Amino acid sequence: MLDVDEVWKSYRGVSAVRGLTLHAAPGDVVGLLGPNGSGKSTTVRMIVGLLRPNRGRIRWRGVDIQQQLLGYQAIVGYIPEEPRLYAYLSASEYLELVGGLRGIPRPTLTRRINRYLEIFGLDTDRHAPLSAFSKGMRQKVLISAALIHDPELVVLDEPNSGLDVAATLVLRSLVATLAERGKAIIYSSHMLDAVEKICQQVVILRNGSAIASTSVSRLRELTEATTLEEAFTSVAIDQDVAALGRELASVALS
Amino acid sequence: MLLSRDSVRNLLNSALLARDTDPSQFALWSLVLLATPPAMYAFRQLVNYSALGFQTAAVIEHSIQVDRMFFLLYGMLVAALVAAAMWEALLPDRTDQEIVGSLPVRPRTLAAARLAAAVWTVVTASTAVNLSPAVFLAIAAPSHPALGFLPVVFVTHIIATISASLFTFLALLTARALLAWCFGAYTSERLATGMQLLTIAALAEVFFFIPGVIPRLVERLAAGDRSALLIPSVPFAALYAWLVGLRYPFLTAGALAAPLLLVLSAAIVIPPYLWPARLFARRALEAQPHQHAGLLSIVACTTAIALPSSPMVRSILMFTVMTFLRSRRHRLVVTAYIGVALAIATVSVIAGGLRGTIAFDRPETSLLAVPLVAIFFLTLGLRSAYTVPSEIDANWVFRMSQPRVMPAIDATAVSMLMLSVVPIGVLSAVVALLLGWNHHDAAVISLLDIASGVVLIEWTLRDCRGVPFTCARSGDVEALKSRWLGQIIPLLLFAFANAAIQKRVLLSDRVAAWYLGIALAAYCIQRLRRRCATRHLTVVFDARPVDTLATLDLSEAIG
Repeated sequence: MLDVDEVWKSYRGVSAVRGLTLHAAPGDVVGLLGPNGSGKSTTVRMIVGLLRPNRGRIRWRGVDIQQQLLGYQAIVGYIPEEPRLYAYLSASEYLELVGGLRGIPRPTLTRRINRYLEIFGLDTDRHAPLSAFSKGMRQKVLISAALIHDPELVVLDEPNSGLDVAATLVLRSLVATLAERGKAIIYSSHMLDAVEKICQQVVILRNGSAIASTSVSRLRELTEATTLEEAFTSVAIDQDVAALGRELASVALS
Repeated sequence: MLLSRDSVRNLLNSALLARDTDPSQFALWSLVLLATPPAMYAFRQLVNYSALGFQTAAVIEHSIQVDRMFFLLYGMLVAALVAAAMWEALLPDRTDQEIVGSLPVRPRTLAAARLAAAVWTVVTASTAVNLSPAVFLAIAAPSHPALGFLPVVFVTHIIATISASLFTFLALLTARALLAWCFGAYTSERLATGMQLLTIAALAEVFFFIPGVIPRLVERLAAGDRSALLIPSVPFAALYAWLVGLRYPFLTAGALAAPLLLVLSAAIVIPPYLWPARLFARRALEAQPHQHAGLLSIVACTTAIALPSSPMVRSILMFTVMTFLRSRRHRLVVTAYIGVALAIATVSVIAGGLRGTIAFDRPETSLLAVPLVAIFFLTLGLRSAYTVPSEIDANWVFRMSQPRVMPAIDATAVSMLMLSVVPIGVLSAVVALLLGWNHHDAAVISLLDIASGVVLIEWTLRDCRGVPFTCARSGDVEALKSRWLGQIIPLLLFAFANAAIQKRVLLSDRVAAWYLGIALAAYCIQRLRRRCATRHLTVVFDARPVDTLATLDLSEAIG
């Protein structure tokens, strides 16, 4: 069980996250939504232990993750927002690096790498450097790296980024299966339709604070919206997006 | 104009070791570092020239020519260094094409802008390096008529040194462009990298030989030796002397050759960049990055798999070796160290020859020191290269797994063994056999070198707390500082004193066993000490505070 309790994080006096609380039990898929700069990525980085909160606690199974950071990170799988990889390594070399750092024995690691590359259709490019990969291919490598050690908590930050339709559908099925197997999943994304289909719970962030934390259906009910997109627009966006679009189109004509 | 301005920044960026540092700060500190030796030298000569009035004209002219030749050669070396450092960004890459390619800008315009930026950069560097010597020499001019007229000396110094630097720079740029033009993108890239490594190694070596080379060049110039004009610095020295007022016929020929050379180099550098600009642009977009496994990569993987160690050690080892083998920037750092090692080894052999103590048919101290010097500098070079981060944003995979310090250092030590100690140890045995030494001596020398290398690695890693290439650092300005002076005594002990000991050790197997036993004990003690000190520590990823007592690191500035 992941418990994020009243967590605050600021950078040089500027608050990025303010008193955020969220919970994810095994089998839960919690969606993290919010406009740009709302604090989603900071939250995700705190959850995976890359950042330390200024205030508040993040607990895994009742224990503060900062007290057992090494043990905690060993059970976390993480897909970062930006596909930052060692671009001069090949896909298999990168997965070997990650698997080795996770302490996976070599025969098991080799078997898993081969299987991931095969499933994602990357086996023919296994020796090409990641610099030659498209964004979607890199994302597939990151997904493989996040799951290679069979984590208990999976944190996905914009996992659909660069993926094609088929891979997006595969990812959706993957998340559902992982949840069925009792993994806790944090799913941060801008793709509201994907979140609506995958997540049971959503937390909507704005200016670092959670302005909604409930189930998808309850949120729709409360906002009298038919879709999550409508619900999100009504609670998280205070601009007239249509008018802004028209204004943008007119700038070059002025 | 806009493209040229952007190109200067691009060129400076390419010269940086770590991508996340400020190029303008790096440029400024590099210039200060490069400009200091000639300024100090010129200032010292300002005092010396005041005593020249008592000397004959021949002595005065010889002494002045030596100094002028030093400034010319130094400026040319700086230009070669700038060319080697900016090599990577002279031709358009994929990023350039993705950014500029979609704009209504012709590839030829971009190439011209890049070329103009390169020339501007080297002229600026050359001016910065030669300005203070020009001032000092001009101030010294009134102390003797042979030194020249004050304003003429100032202007002439600037003209001659910048012309010489520009000529060197343009000649190297032409070679780079021709490589890219004649061969495919991949081959030319590899050849260019090889040429860059050679340039840097040669530069590091040349610094050691400048004092011995210059007087000989001046003697040839004074003797009217026309073949001396084939040496690139000599026509510019002749131009310098001619402009200051010397009117010997031989100097006139040289003085005429210098501007011709400059114009010629400027003329031939333009077509290889501008004419195939469209081809270069297309290649940059179409070329697929690919890499071959490479012998060392295969050896690294095989060794890593065979090692009876944890998956974490194996992973870090493979990562370290792969990163080093695939990163041109990191190889350049080590190349600079190799250049210094070559120079010191050569000096050691030459010194042995001059003393008459060198004989190639049996193990002598001067020869035994050569592999030890190579191991010393290669190990130090690797240690230095490992501190330069690679793709720092990607180090989150290490942050997520938080390796302990011990496995990280173990992997680092094995990588240093693979990349420096073992190859040099094996090579020293092969060379010993080729020199006709007996098999026993060759094998023992190899063992002793490897044992010494292992102890050296432990010593160099004594304060290591991170995974190679993953630790952020405070930037290339700090990379210009190191502890070079502090390495002189360890070098003397490790290479030269150790070689003298090795020579005695070769006389008896029992002494050899003692030597190896002591090396093993030193290794075990150091390792035990490290284990106790780092048992509960995890690796660090953030830069340590700048060491305010650090001294200058010339070799990293070369990278």
